Amino acid sequence: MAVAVEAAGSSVKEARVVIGAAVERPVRLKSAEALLRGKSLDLALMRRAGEAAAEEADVVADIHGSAAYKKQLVRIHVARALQAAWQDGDARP
Amino acid sequence: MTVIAKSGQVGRSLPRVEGRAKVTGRAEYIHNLRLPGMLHAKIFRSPIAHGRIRSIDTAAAKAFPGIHAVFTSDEIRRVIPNPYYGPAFHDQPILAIDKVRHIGEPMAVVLAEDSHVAEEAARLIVAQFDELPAVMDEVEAVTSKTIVHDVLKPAGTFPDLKHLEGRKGTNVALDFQLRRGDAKKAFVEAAHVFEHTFRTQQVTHTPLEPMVSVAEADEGRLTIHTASQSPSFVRIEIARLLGWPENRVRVKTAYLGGGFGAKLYIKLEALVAALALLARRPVKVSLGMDEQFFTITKHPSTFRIKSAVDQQGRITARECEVWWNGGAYADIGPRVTQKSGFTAAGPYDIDNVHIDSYALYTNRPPAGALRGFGIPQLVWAYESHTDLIARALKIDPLEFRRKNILREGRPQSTGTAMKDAAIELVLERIAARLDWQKPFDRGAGALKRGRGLAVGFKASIAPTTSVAIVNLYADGSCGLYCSTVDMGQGSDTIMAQIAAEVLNLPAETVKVVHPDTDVTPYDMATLGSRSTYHMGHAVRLAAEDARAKIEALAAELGLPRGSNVPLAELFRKKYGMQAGNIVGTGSFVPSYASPDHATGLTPNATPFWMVGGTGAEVEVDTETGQVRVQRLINVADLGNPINPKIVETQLSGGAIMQLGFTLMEKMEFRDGQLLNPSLADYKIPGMRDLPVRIENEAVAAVQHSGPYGAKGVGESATFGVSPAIANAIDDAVGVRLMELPMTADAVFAALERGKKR
Repeated sequence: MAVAVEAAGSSVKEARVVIGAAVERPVRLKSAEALLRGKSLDLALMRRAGEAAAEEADVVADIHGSAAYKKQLVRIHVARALQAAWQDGDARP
Repeated sequence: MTVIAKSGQVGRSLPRVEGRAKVTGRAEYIHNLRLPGMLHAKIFRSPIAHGRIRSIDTAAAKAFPGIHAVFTSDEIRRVIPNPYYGPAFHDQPILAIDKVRHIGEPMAVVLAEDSHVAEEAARLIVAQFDELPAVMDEVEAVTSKTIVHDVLKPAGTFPDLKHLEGRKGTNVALDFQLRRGDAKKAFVEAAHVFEHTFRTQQVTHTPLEPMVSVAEADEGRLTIHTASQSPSFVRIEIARLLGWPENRVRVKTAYLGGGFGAKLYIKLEALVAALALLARRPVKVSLGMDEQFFTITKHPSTFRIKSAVDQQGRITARECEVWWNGGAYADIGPRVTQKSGFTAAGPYDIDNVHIDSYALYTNRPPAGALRGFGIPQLVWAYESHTDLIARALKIDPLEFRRKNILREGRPQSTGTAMKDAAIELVLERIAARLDWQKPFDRGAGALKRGRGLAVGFKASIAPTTSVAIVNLYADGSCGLYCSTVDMGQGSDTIMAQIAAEVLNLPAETVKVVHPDTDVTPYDMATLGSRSTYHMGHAVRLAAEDARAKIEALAAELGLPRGSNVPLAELFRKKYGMQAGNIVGTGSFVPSYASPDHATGLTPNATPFWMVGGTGAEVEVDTETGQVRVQRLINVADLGNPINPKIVETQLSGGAIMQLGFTLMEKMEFRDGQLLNPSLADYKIPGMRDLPVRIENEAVAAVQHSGPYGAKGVGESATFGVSPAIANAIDDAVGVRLMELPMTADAVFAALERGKKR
């Protein structure tokens, strides 16, 4: 999983959300990206982006986990990755 | 009878004698063995779980360039007419006959000078079947119409299996029972009754050196080089299959790249023996990692446990029903059923106990011994159950255990009085290390923390024999001949220390001669944490015998008692030159009384008890179900350690292995097919999965009947890991898992169910 956030002031100019592993090949989750774009990034928005990512991702079940569980991981880890990027990265002004 | 160590060789943390050879890549393994003219054999395996064999078409494989021969059971029976083997039942054919009973069962073998050519040709074999329904679940197997074996064929070596001879129409390979007191009455009178059912999954040993055997036949003799934990058993069983005397079969081992119970009894040895006789050339069978999953596994189990508790929180009765999923061939499963079964009520002082323990045949790959011999499955259930009772009664789990713990001198379920079993001390040391009485940081946000503890115990397998020879050469140097197999547990070092202790030599100067049945004497096997105790005694006795002979030689030469003339000089005085040997022998078999068939009771259930417990602190991510073990505390009673450093690595190694079975490992089946027979898909613990902190402790204890107060330690740290972690998860987030493994997926699902309630 990878997220990139470009900030413009306190809001998001551009965002990229990519996941691998849980899906057949690495994919961008454009609904999550669209949701973030132009908005002021707070915890609630990060959570909503996680929801959108989980909704969009075509998750496959395998012996490592059920599809429902992997969707949960996408939901949580997209939000957590956004939080980490926003707090620790240099996106924020 | 404790003999106190005086020479300082016992109790030393001597580095392993083979350490340098291993880290420099010079240690000898069977995998590296190549013999002139040797052929490689590759196995064609059953693609289905259960079926009658209609045909095996080997024509394309035989026509493949570079193929020496292709054999099925038809050829095997030319050299071994009745090719069924096994330690408890003679139920396993060398290659499938008429029927296949599990996925991956060997059906045909391709021989070629090049192993890759053999592998390629084996893929061209086609088998046709009349498929039969498969029974995979141990509880269903009891009543299933699908019968795995038409008739039961006990090997005859174990008296408690004799009553099963010729039994038909059943999958029950052993029904062990224990009856003590009046459980029925106690349940009627109980203030509280608790009942739970726990399950464990099928896992496997994954030694990083897969099974490998080489056989060469010459002039009516057979030599088998094999990565085996039981060379003496291999010789006896191969001689039986061939109808030969034992002295025509020679079995040699080398260092093993891990065993854990996977390389016991017969695995590939009967097959390579038959192939070498058929091909008239040396033959090697070397399994891939994937093939180990089809060869031997750990029993999946279902355990229904029910307890009666009085007003004061005392357990007054316990009823245990355990079903062991032995897979398609019994291997040593019936022994697991009985030897572990009689401890199913746990290390508690309970007057009324009712145990039924069943070995079941199913259509899974066979199950046998795996580091704990069934005990980790039992402790998982009874220590989870113990915490559930304590929580329901609102008694602190430690206090509840203290109220009920089986103390020294009190009778265990079999009626055998506990002796040298520091159960209480192990429990108290875990509690002390956990600072149980002090407040505990419960975490914050999505990360919740909890802690748990668990204690288990195990009887040593009995009765079993070990024999050792100490040979003192003309210059006074020492060779030690014993058939204990060093598979990484450090037995060469331990045995050298014991011989050196008696003979007052530096342990590193003792040469340990590796198992070779033409050279080294009988040993039952390297299993069940028995070597330090049994072989340790045999080595001690052999060394004492040698010492007595040195003294007799000195006396014969007219020297005063205690004159302490070096042995080399004694030999020169006697023989006039550097010549001669002193050979000391020792053999050891502990006392034991077989349990009564109807009641399971006996006054002497075991030569010694192993006690092991675990304390765990975990952090649970409530949003993902991921469990991080922050602290894993492994405490055991292993008597007086012969080598404290090796004890420490046995404790941490056993605990980490069980951690994999607790949190991640599982053989996944769908429609009889195994989905993950590889280390890519079957995950074992890696460095990142290890607990943040591991602590090991050997409690201050003495096994009075053991050599220098010692006993075994190879399995003890496995006992408590699973329930301690389950108890810690419950403590952290209030959910209870009843089935292993406790994957993040399973923990998260339990959290979701908890929210809905």
